[in-house]
Amino acid sequence: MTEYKLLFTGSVGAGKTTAIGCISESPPIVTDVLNSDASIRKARTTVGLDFGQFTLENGDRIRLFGTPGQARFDFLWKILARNALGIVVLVDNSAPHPLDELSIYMAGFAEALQTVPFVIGVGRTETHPHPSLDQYAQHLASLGKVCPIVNVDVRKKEDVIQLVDALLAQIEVDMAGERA
Amino acid sequence: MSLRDQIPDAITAMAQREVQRMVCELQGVMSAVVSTSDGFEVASATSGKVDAIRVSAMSSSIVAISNAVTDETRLGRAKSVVIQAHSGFAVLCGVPRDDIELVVNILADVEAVLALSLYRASEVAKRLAQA
Repeated sequence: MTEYKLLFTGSVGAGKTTAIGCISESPPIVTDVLNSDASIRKARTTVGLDFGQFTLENGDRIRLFGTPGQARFDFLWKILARNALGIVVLVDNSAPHPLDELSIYMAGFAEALQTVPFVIGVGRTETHPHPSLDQYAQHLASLGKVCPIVNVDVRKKEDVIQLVDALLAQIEVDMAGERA
Repeated sequence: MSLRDQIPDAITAMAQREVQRMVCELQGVMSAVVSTSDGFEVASATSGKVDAIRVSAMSSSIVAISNAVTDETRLGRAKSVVIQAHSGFAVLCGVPRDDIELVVNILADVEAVLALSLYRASEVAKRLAQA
């Protein structure tokens, strides 16, 4: 049985806690507290970490960790990224500048992203279609990065599973490359 | 108006008085910070080496993770956290309030007495909770 550690990060309100809660087999550990920042339209916000887990059909276990989104908690980003086999970056397309927000996480996890596979999940595209996924790809390319970019509704289990599947495929390719 | 803006002025003033007193009266205490549970500074008194903004964010994370541990193990709400280090210690106490939860944090060097700092931080937390 293999255990994978996957990290969920991304902008505030993008749905990291929701995504983990959606697919975790057991009630996730959350560290949500009342949000006192009026610039963020959320009642509660993660200030520690999220944790959930689920089991694949082949018996492999996935451990899911979620980070706080705010930059003032960036000291936790490095800690939580340790030994992660893959990273999911969630972005809220309804935010004023989603591509700029993506850049924050590309920079915040720059060291990890040199070697760790990642995927990007873009939320709320049904109501906010711009930027398009192509624009995300172009933006990533300008940062010297390439990865799968998918639309995701983190409230839907099948969407989150699809995102995780895309990441696991990246991880397997990576591992196969190491073995070769 | 944000939740932070709703912190009564009297509470902020009380917090500022208390952190000032802790730094002045407790030997070895390098800083005392009161922050919101989501990591924003409310009041601080530091020796200058400590970044109160960073400490506020870290304190909120530590207390939140501690509450997750005690929830998971059904120990009830976390009252305090002590971090002992080679050159000192940190003491953190949660402040449960109806309007906004706060965190009291003391950072101290080896000259400080842990029990005394823990007692003072707990007393300040209790007063802030009841105010």
